[in-house]
Amino acid sequence: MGTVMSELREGERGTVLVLRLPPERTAPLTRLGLLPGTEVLCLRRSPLGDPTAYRFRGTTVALRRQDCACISLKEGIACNTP
Amino acid sequence: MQYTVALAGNPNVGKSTLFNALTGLRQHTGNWTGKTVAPARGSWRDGDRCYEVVDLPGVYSLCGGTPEERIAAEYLQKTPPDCLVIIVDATALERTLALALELQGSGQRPVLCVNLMDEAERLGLHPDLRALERALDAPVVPTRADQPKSVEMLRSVIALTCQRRSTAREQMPPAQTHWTQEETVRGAAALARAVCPQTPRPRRDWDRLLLGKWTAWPLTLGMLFCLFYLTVRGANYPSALLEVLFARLRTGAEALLAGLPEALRMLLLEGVYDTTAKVVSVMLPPMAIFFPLFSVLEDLGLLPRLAFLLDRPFAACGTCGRQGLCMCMGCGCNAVGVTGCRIIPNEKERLAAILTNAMVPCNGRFPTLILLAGLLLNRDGSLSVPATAGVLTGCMLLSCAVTLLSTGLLRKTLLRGASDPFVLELPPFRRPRLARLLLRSLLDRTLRVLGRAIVVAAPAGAVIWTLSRLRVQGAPLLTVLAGDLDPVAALLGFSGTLLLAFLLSFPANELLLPLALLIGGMAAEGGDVTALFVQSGACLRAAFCTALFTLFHWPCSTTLLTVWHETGSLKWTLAAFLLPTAVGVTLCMLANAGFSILS
Repeated sequence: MGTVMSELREGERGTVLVLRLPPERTAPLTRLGLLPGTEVLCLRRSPLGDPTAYRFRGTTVALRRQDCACISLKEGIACNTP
Repeated sequence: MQYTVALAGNPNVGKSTLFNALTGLRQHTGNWTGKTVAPARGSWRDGDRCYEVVDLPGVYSLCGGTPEERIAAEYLQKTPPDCLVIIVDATALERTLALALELQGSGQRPVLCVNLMDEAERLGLHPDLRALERALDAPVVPTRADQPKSVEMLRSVIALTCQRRSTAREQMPPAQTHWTQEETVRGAAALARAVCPQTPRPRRDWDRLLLGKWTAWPLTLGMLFCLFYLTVRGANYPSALLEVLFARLRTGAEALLAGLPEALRMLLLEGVYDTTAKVVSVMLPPMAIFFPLFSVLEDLGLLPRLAFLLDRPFAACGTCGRQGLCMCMGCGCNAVGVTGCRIIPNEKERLAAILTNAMVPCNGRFPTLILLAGLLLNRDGSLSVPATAGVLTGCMLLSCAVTLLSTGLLRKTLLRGASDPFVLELPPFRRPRLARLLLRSLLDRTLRVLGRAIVVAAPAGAVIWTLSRLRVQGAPLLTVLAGDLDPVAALLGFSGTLLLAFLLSFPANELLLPLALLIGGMAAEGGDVTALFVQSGACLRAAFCTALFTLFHWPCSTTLLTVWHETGSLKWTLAAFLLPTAVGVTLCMLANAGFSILS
């Protein structure tokens, strides 16, 4: 069983398996290139704990925990090797 | 011969900069947030050919999910340009090529402009532009910030495309089968990998500092403090200069109007001229300092980071961190803050931000607050700088808290509805191009807001002057009116004179104290404002309640006009008037009651 995107810790990577969000909430994410199969790197959380900045497809995008909790990841989280 | 050229591209690919480089300063409409909402237009000439350039809003796709996407898609469908320039970011081809693929399939004849090539090279990326040209079957032009000549190259390719298009109109490439968004994104990723297989060198990570757990807040607060300090402090000198200048001009105006009847001459001089001069000399310097500084922060890419830091408390109130940015803009001028709300994509969140923006004190209210801060601390109103700064900070915190609470209330009642998923791109830091940037922000923002202020201040000056001259049964009308307002004002904790001044300073908040002096009949006696409060006996109570009402009352007429313009609805404009007023009246009455119980 894989995990969800909001559980990634800073510096961890994962690959998106499926977005379990209603279509109108998926669209803004798809537009930025967040699709099943996209590899995401969790960059850093906002000092107040939410939102979190993720890096995928060469750009940095901040997303809220509420939305990331509905994005499941494939098994096997890799740590970012600096 | 006139050709139209449309610029399309993702946000943050340097589209507006390129637009400015192409058209020089001949832009007809500017945009405030770095986000073009209505297409901006400009032009350049080459002999007898004129190229009209339309800067489409920055979008990720044309599927029509957001207002910007609808505007861009509609424009391209209704008025196909002679040349469509698609701008992509050389450092983020994978993401930005998706729009190019989508547009290529739409039957337009595009030119692909690969921008930020210099930055890509610094990161060790060397995209194969010929391969890109072959894959897209469109001319590809690289542009770079450090070589102005690259824009010339783009111009000539655009010219060539326009001519080819006008001679061979029927030979348009056929529209391809429509890809789904997912296919487009995947196609772009594959293409980007083929064209540019290198992985970028990591950039210097300023975010570690700017968004770091311990460093983020001190740095952000320090930056905002510097912004306000420079604005408030730096504006004093040019303000004084302008006042001297206007006094000189007045002598000239007096001579010019000498032939007119006495009453009309005084109306124009003391009413229209003096009020307008006052508004300009108080408003222009802070705006001329604040807006360019704000533009620098914007160009650096700091504003989205501020939204990233601020999002959590705003999320708790049913809105998003972008509202924090609108509030910062509101500190300069609420009219600008209201326009700035365009950066909030969700319609209801945007309305809530517009309605509450006036609860952040603008430049025009700061002088009043500074004076009241002195009064709150010492009965004689003497100022000590750190204490005043402390009271001002308190005012700001209170105003933020009330803004958040009322936004939350609005989102639970009138403007109920789900929020959109919060998706905020954090672009890489870019060195701002100072000279051009400062000029643009001065021309676009400062002069426009100032123009609107003058349009309101001039007639208002005439009305107020007339009122101040009218007499009822031997007593000045204003004094009588102030007396009539006394019982109402007593509920709020201050005098009728001040309430009338609040009412009459509707055209511009800057007018509050000069008006209070005029009404109180104290203008002649050297204009010591503290007398207004000391006189009323309960100095502390009056000062405190006046400060509250300064923070929370109806927005000025310029701001209301802007609200009307932005919402297109009289109903919401009325709401923008009533909401802060209701909050102010409630808070003042509570404070007043509190003082009564304590004493």
